[in-house]
Amino acid sequence: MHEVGLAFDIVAIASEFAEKNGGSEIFGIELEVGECCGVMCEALEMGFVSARKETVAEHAELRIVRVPGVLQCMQCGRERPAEYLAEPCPECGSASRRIVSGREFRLKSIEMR
Amino acid sequence: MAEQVDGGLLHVDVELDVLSRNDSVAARNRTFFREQRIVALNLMSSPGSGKTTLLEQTIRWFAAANEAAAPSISVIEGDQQTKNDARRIREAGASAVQVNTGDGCHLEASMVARALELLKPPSGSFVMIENVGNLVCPSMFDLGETARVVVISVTEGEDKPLKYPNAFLSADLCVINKIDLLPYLDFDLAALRGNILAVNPDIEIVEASCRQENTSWMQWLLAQSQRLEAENVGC
Repeated sequence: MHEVGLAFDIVAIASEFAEKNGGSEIFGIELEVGECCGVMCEALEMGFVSARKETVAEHAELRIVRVPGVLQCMQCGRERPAEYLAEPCPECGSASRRIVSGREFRLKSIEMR
Repeated sequence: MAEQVDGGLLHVDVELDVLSRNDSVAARNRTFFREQRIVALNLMSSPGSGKTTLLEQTIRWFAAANEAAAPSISVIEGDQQTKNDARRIREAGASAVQVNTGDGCHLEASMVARALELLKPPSGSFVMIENVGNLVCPSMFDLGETARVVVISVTEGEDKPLKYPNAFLSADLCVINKIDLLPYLDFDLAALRGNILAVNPDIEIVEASCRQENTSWMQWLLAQSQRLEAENVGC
C-alpha cells in the first residue's frame, strides 16, 4: 500500500506548485501512470481521497492517464506489450529486453483558481 | 504553460515526477556514499528469507577474516515494528540504527538520510540497508544505494521471480539463501536460476547459507569495495 503515501506526495507537490503560481484552490490533478511503474491506480485513487482532505486540493478530481507498458527486444528490436516481464521475445526468443514505456509516474498538470 | 479553461479555471502544466522528492534525497545520499567511499547496499526480500541472519554472519565473517583489511559494516534496519533486528546486529558486533516504518511497507530515501545522521558510518565502510520484508513496494524507491541485492531462500517458490518481477528486475545481485536446506526440500534450483535470469538477464547470482562461510557472497562484497576504490582513483 505504498500508494497511500504516494497520494499524499501528489497532493503536496500539486499544492506547492499551485501556491508558487498564484493558485489558492486546486480542482483537478492530471497524472500519468505507466503500467510498469509499480503503482496500482485503484489504491492510489483511494489514498487520494484521504490525502486531499483539508488541503487546497480538497475538491480536486484525480484524472489518471494510463501509459501502456512496451518492451523492446535488445536482440531483434521487436516491440511487444509488457504484460509479463519474464516472457522471451516471440520473434527471436531472446530474454534481453528494455522497457521503452510504462515507467512513467508524473504529475502532468493541475487545474486551479 | 497556463491556459484558461471553463469556469475561470486555469490549466497549468506541471510535468514533475511524483517520486522527484524521494529521488532528490536519494541523490544526496548517493553523493554522500560516493564521497565517503562507502558501499551502500539496499537488501530486499520477502519476510523470512534470512536477510538479518545473513548480515549477522557477514559481520562475523568479516571480523574473523582479517581485522586489518576488512572494511567495517554498519546496518540500517527497516521493519514496521520492533527493534529486534538492530539488537541482533549490534550483538553480532556492528553499529545499527533501527527504522520503524509503522504502517509503511518500504524504506524511503529520507528515512535513510536520517538514519545516516545517527549511524555516522566511517569512510571506506559498508552500509547495509535492510529494507522492510516485502518484494513489491521497496523496489520502487531509490535510497541512493551503490547496488541493490535481492535475497530469495530455497524455502520459497521457484516461480517467485516471475510472480514478483520488479525487485529482481531492479537488483544487481540475487542471493539464493538457505541452500543448506536443499537436501530436505523438493526444490528445483535450476528452475529458480532460470526464472531469475528470465526476469533480469544481467543480474549476478550467488548461493548462500548462514551455516557455512559464503565465499562467493564475500567475494562479491569485496569486489564492490574494490570497484568503488578504482572509480575514486579514476576521478
